[in-house]
Amino acid sequence: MEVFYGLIDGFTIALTPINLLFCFLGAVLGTAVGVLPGLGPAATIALLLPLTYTIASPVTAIILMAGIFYGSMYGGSTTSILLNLPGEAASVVTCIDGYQMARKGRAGVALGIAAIGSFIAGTVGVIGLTLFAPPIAEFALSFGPPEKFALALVGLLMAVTLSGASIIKGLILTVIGLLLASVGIDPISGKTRFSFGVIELQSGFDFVTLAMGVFGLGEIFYNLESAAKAEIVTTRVGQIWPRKMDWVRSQWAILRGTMIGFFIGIIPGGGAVISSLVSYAVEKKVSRHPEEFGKGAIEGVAGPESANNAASSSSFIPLLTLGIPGNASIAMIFAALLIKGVTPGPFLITEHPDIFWGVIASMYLGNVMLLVLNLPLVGVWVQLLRVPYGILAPVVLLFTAIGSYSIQNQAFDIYALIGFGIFGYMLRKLRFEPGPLVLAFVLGPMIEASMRQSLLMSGGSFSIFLTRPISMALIGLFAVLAIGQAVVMLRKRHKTTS
Amino acid sequence: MKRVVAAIAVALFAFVAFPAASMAADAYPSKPVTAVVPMAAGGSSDLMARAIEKFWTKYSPQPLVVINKPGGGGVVGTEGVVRSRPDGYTLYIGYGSGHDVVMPSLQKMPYDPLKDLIPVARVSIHSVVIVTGAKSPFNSIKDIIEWSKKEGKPVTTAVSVKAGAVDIALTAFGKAAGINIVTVPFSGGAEATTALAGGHLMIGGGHPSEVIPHIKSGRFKPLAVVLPQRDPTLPNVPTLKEQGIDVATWGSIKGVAAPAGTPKEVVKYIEGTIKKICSDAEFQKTMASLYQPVMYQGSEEFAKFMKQATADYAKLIKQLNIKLD
Amino acid sequence: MAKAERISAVLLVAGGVFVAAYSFHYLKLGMLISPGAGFLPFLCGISIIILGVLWLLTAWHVKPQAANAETGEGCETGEIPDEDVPRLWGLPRKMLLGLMVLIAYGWLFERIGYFLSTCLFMFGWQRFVEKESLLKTVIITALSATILYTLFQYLLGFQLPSGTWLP
Repeated sequence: MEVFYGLIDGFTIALTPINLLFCFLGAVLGTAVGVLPGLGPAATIALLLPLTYTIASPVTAIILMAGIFYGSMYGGSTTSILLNLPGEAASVVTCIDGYQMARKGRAGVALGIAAIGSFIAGTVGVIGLTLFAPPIAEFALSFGPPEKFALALVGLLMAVTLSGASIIKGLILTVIGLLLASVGIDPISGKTRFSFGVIELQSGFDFVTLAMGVFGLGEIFYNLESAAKAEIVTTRVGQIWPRKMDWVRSQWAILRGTMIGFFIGIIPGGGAVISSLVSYAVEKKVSRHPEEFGKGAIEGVAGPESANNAASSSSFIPLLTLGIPGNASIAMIFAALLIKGVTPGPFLITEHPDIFWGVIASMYLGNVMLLVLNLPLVGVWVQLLRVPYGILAPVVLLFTAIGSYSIQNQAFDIYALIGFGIFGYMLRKLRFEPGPLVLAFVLGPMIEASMRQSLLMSGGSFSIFLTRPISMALIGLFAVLAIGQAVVMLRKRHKTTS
Repeated sequence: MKRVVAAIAVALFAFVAFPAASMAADAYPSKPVTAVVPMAAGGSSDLMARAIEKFWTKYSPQPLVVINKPGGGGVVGTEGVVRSRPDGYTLYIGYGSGHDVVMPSLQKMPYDPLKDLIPVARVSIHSVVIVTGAKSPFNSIKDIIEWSKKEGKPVTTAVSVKAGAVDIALTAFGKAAGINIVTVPFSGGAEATTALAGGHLMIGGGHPSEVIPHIKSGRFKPLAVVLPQRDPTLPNVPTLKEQGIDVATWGSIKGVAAPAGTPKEVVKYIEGTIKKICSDAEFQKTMASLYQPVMYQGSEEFAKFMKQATADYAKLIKQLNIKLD
Repeated sequence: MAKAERISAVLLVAGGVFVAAYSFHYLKLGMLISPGAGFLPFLCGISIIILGVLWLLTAWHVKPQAANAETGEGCETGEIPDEDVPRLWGLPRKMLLGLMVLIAYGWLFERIGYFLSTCLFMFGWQRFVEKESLLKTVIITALSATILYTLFQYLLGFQLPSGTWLP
């Protein structure tokens, strides 16, 4: 029961005026960062690192940064739903159904469910963090290259379920996504691939530029074709609050998303993006109305949004218990702790219980604050849609261009953004669903690097994937799912021809 | 009404536009100085840069602003500095890292790190530390060598990036000791240390700032430091030379550089400011908490040092026949 | 639409051939035990060739479905039949102009600085793409440039270029 006492202590720390203030600041800043396309929480936290020198207490500094981190998960869904613009990598999946809901006049519903789902998932995530941190952290560590390979493979299979009507088109985009991901320096061999002498291509394409281009700009170009198309986006404002029916359908999605996000978020390198994608695929599979997915199914928003929030909570686990940062934002927080003279690791909980419990307690508070912040904002955001498209579109373009530029401070990224926008436009005209492209782009490097690392580790033997328990289980899962998928496809083919 | 709105808009616009498009002149520095770190935020170079950023305002009227331009293993950001205006307002922090001293011996570079950049000051050296997991049967370098020779199996080694300072150091160790070291590269030090912490590889290499937290928490055992002398942040860890292996590298050097053509007075000013920062007790304390030793060197000696370090790496690579396949 | 699909499929197959060749020649496949840099791209190239051919075959058999402009039959939700769109040089006018203004923005961004290029972008957009009156154009440009500047440079502290062409 010392967990209980620890938590009480934590709350006494988190509820001090200064910590409350910084928690709130972090939440607001995080939401803003999540809404703004391009700028991610990692970069913002990096910008604020010098601030940690001046703030005396390490707890306060970490509370601020943590707030930014999970706050951005809340904000990211806003532009995804309203404008098909993923403000954050983890919000890309929300675009798929969220934006369609907005086009049908249900933007408010989508935003509301996203906020509520995020709150539930974030809070449950923190509870899980409170109770199960150490054993879960050990589990996370046991994911080495072979396990990551197997997991990513399962994820890639999920990409196929995002294909929409044509599996062939989905597979084509999957492969193109893998190729786009291989542009740049290959980490295993050190060779530069597909750069054709262009220095900016040496670092490869950035995920957010790709996603903003294909989803957001593609949509804008498509809408520019005709004034009538643009009107469809802006005139349907409709309901603001979710109806009972929406709530009933979402609750299981939220629950599943939370579980998925929590577990995948712990794995170093896994994170919010993959969990949102897996959640989407799972929701589509278990739904009674799978044909609705891609056209505005509320589970397609509730699940992934919950998943990415749960993942952001659980990604703190490796940091607080083992001293291992799982992603860029957490790495910053790790750095801030180091600067403050605190070494994160298994002894954090015993040597600095105030930091450990203070941060956890403020995460509970932070989630509440974010819910309170975001729900009323739904009404405000929805009004944004009323801005005439002639002004809205160029402003959005400016935001995305600047956002793109600021990722690596090079103008080339603006061109890349435009290029992807044109690509996204063509995909729409040719009836491709962009989902698999994005998933493959994210998973490609993980699959390839993990496989080659595993083979280096085993001296070339493929048995390494089957002799380790976790990877064997995941490979087995992959096989089962793949066969299942093939059977379903063959049956469909059989039905339509007979 | 429309006219009023228009008037207000134009007034606001003018109010903002003039300062926005204003020019700068006068003595250096008369506007903020940009420091480019060609690596991801949160890494050891970045942290050092931000520490410098913080203490810079103590000794200079204008602030230092750190921006990250990661990509291409460090080449992209560095090239940006090389091609910038040599007026002292764009600097490079992290000079001397793998891509500056190791890469030129392995592949063609779009610029020459020794000629196209002026070494202004050295701030730190991030050595390569060889570590192993706490549960590992190895307790010293000798154990690794004996095991490998007896079992005849390769020693899997986690390294940060392919052909980086860590990779070269571990590969050199393997060749000098006559054992089969298989370096498994990851996408950076953090990922490599995580994999090692999970026990998926036998040994690994990293910089003190990456491995000391794990050593302190009992997850890693330090086996050796790959420097000519012991590292001040790890005084109890013997060097490879002390353990009988004649391999020493400079690890990853971290300094400040300016594009070639920067005026001498400007370089002197920056050098002086960095010197003051490095002598500052608070700065030293901050660096100590990051497990990064402060090892200041002025512009002239640093230039000599860089030439020496590059030559040393070139020699090592040639001797051991290390290639990018 | 089927014609566009067929052309795209052919282009795709060509792309696949290029990728496979590049991977094989420049990047080295390595052996199965130790795959090289070109291994995955090569597999991707081959897959694209195969998938591209399959796509071509499916597109061949589909009759192009002309959407009925009057009754709206044959359209998906929110799709407007193609005949309605005002064109310029064969492409949708607004989209083309918007694209050009955007590309110009990217080109000017680092050269004349963020503030000026943003102004020009907005001006160009309102005037050429939306064909707004001069007055409205100036107002919108001034307001948006100011707001964006305040947001990005003051509040968020972004590092935005001030222009290499300017003194």
